[in-house]
Amino acid sequence: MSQMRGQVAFFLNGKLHQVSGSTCFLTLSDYLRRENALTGTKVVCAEGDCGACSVLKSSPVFLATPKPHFEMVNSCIALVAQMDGCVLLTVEALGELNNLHPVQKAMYESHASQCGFCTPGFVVAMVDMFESHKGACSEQEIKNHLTGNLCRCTGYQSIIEAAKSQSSDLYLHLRKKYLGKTVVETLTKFCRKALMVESQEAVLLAPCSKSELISVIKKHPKAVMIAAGTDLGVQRNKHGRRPPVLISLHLIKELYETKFLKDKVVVSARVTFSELRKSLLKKCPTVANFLDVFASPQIKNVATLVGNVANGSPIADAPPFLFALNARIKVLSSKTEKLIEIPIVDFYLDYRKLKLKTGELIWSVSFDLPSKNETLYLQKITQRKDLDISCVNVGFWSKKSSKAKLSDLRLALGGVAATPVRLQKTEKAFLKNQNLEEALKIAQSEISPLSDLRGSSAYRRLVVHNYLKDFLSKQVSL
Amino acid sequence: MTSPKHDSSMTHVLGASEFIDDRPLFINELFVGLVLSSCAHAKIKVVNKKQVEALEGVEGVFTAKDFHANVWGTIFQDQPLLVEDETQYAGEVIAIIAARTEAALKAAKQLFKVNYKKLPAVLSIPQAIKEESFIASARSIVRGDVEKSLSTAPRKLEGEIHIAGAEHFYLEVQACIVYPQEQGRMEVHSSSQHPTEVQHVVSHALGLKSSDVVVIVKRMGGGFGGKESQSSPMAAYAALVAQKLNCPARLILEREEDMIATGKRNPFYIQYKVGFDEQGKILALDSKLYSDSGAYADLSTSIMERAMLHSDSAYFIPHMRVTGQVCRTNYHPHTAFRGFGGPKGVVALERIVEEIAFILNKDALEIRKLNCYQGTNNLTHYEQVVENNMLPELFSKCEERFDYFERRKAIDFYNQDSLGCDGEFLQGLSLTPVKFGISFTTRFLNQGNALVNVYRDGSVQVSTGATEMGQGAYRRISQVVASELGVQLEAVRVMPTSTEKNANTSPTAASSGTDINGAAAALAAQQIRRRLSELALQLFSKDQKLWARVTAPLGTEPEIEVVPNGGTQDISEVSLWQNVIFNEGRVFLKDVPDKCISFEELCNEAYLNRISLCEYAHYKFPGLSFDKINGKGDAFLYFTQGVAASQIQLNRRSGELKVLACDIQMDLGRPINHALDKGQISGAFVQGMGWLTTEKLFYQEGVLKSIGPSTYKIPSVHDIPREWNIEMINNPNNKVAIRASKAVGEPPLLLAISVWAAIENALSYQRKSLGEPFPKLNVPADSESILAELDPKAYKTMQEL
Repeated sequence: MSQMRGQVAFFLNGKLHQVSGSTCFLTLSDYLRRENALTGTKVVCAEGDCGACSVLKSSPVFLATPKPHFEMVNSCIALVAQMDGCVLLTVEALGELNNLHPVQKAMYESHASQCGFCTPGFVVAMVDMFESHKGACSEQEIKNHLTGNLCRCTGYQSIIEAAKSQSSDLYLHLRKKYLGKTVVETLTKFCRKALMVESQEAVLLAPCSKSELISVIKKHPKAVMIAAGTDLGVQRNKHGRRPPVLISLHLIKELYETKFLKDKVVVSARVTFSELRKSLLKKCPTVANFLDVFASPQIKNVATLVGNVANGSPIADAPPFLFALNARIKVLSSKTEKLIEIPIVDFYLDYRKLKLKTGELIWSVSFDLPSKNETLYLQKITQRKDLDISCVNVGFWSKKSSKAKLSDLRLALGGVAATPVRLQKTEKAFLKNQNLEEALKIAQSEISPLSDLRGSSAYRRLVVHNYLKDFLSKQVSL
Repeated sequence: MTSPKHDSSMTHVLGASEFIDDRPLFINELFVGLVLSSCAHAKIKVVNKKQVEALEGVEGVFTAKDFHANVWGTIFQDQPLLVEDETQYAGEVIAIIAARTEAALKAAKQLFKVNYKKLPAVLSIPQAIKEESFIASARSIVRGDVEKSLSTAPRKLEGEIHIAGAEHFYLEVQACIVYPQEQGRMEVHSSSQHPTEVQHVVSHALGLKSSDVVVIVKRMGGGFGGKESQSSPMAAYAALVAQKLNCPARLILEREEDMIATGKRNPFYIQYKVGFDEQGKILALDSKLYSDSGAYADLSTSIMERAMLHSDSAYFIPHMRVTGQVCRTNYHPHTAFRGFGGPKGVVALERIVEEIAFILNKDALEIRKLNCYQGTNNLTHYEQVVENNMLPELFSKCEERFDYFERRKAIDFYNQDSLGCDGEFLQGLSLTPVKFGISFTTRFLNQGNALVNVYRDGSVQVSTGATEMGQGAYRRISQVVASELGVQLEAVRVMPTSTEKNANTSPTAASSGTDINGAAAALAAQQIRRRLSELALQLFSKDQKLWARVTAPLGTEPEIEVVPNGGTQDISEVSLWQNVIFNEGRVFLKDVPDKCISFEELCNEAYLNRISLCEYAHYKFPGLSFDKINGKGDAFLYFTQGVAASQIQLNRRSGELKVLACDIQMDLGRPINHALDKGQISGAFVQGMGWLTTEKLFYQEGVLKSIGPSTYKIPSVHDIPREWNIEMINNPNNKVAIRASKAVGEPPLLLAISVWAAIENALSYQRKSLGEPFPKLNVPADSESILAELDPKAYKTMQEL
């Protein structure tokens, strides 16, 4: 790693930007609005929860697969440095007066904007939808795709109408205009070199391979790893958290891999939820469909499964289904330079405390794919059904023996204790005697929910009771 | 039907519409930030002002003593701009910081230390009642003999309801930039519904005259009432910096600051006693309304008044007493929010109707139709006649369109099944009305003015006091003016609202923006048209070679004179000028199409003949006679009416709600712009749903904790009714309003009460099957409240674990 790049490189609305110093540590939205006068991108919440700041960002163009394409992301919680190697488009690039993008035209014709503050975000989201979709979209697809955008004026009806009136056949894909060969080659060249950018307060390093990563961590054992950094962006904006040393994994090719083995899947650290959803659609539809009520498309395009585990939050959405599917966490130690595997049940030690030592990071997560005689039940209980942080998260799994008798059980929950939990006593008791009342009682002793703004302890307990009752009673009666 | 688009829709979709924070930065511009109290009630002491001032990039720190006059208030001047020594709510502004960069501002805010010595705080309405912590005295509206008819009524019920507030969640936060001008004057660009009040508050606080301060509002990224009064102090904070440091000053709140510092919809607590007969006819209602004003009065007394005036919902109640008392608590001062007090009065009565239906084992729709204003039962409790009443028609149209009773049958079966086998869902159905009074209840606010400037090329600029927050007031006003002048819509531009062009204006509120300002603009345009008509008449009688465009440069012809301002005219002349037709940019004599001139040419002739092409007009609502002390009289110019039917589904495991279907029927007179009106209906309905269901303000010791979209859940695209029909019935008879239209901004918000009532309906199926009393749902009916009502016993058990 003798030569490191000192500049972040990306294309913005067709122009190459090379950025160094403190600018790299601005949020992307600030960079657009304050440094480039691209004020069409709005900041409403600065926590990635409303979509007004949506921009289009290319997938990492230096990868052979998937083919470079655009995905929308929240610019308010992304750092400029994280744009390294990407192509960006803002609303300003989509159309101009008298030459509107078809989506803009549809929004215009359908009276789909009122105050106009959320409108550019919706335009970007809708353009993104047709970029990645063939033909027209169903109402459900439209709603799923626009989940990450809030509007306070229209009641959404006119926006949905605008989307319904469109079809991707109607126009030229942006990738054809902005992700051409020259652009890809230019960026690929940059991405072959490890990156180091620094300001007075912070430094960000991005190695290109596992061995480079190990040596970087050895040098900065206390560095904060960013796979996608979606939560870090929120913490930066809301709590002023600015780690002095960041290590980004975005240049390490092998971390973008999802590997399907015979009965399980291995998901590497840079695999986003969007990619994961796509690859699980056929192989594990229960999880793929669950991912629909999981964050916003903007977040899912960036956030990773590994990041969700590494974050350590007791209300993270992934752990309950990972617990239920017997996940194993593969940890890379910079000290031993080896990968070791830890069962997920042993991985969460306490509130936001993981079985991860200084100088270690999660390389990948693997979990079992349910087979025919296994049932997987996932449920997320929230105040608002979509785009909400869980109040309670449910991941139940059961296995039937050849005689259709219950033979194994995993009951996992999020939001009911300081960590995601598995109700191992409940499982054991129920497997033994199939006494529903007793199992429900034991379950209550295995959880210790808090009361907060997402729900009281009583509510969480009652929800657990209800879903568990539902699930377990089906295991007996069948 | 194709309606003209919102006047900014093209730039909105392009991302090219300029909001306050999109304005380019001046090189000497300063970022302004606020230090907010973190205590509901405490003695405060600023600890380290000097240290913050010394921070790199910080240009100034200001406290209460820096204002010329540290006080403001819309109705009562009772609120300090900056805390002096005792904070009355968490979020109250203690100090103002000005910095060169946003980063320096953030650092300064973090460094700023305040010591708090906590004092006892009033944090609920019941506590305020107990401690008699009130603002102004209680008011009543009384009709008939309530005591007697309550005591003689065959059936009675009494109860109470807690109605929580709601955050406006306008997408653009409170924002303003103040540019200092020569001689200490100020130019204020504010995201405000009330530029005139911003002007008053800024000039008063800074010791300037109104004429020293110009306030400009181009557009807002949403207002919903939250920028009616509460944007004024924000402008004063930025203006203080501009005045003290003589630099442009930009104040853009962060989302969480906005949510903590600004007031919300007033929470209400309502107690009621009702007498009714076996048919479900309501005979008497005694209703006590208490509202939580927060720490200061803001608009709360007016909001209470509207709640009292809407406590009849849409029903004729022969004996009625409604009493309202505003309570002072230690929360942010609550303020206007779409619907003002109206929704609160209506929620309480719709709950009563659901309960009467429950008790009498009838469908609530029967009770509603029985009690709704109709025929000679058309006098409100404040003795205003409900004229041009469309309620019966709206009821029957919606009932029919929604197949109400078919759905009812299906739901009966569905719920019976679900209750029998521990099914996952319960369904509910309700149809509720709205009869929303249009006018400010404070009479003097019902006035407006407009300036219409026509240029020599026939293009037109209109300026009024109406502000644009997405509702389309500018577009409707431009449509009114374009049709008055018979020109293409593109020829008319409504200009950013400015106190320079329109003085002493009212807030764009009470749904009245177009009614008041559109009417004023129409008057001004009519005066211009009249002068142009007279000019045209004279031109048509002259050889075109003698027209001014040929002769004026040399002055060879005498000028044409018309009566200025359309002054006193004899009748024959009036009829003559009315024969001049203005249509699609052409002006011609009725029935003589060859006597014709283009609007553009005519404007040029007017100029060359020294005839004014500009006009100013003033307009006021006629005939408002409400006496606030006696609680009697015509409080409103007219009513906007509508009904909505909603079918919902509850998840019995989690309490989660899904709105399956909804049908809305509204009477909006003859809409000026059908599409914009429809957008107001759908938007208001969903906003109302949010308030009634998912939006929960979570406070701890008076400090708001739900301070962003991740914790405060406004409806998302998935939450709207799965099946949703919105229609307007035909009613050309609202002659009192501009072009026989009706105001639309607020009324449809109240229709969301159908969703809430449908939840009560769903719950009541279960209660009936268990033989238990009617469910007492509060607002908001969030998942937890619903689950707690679905299974009170289990919920209680869990509370004890």
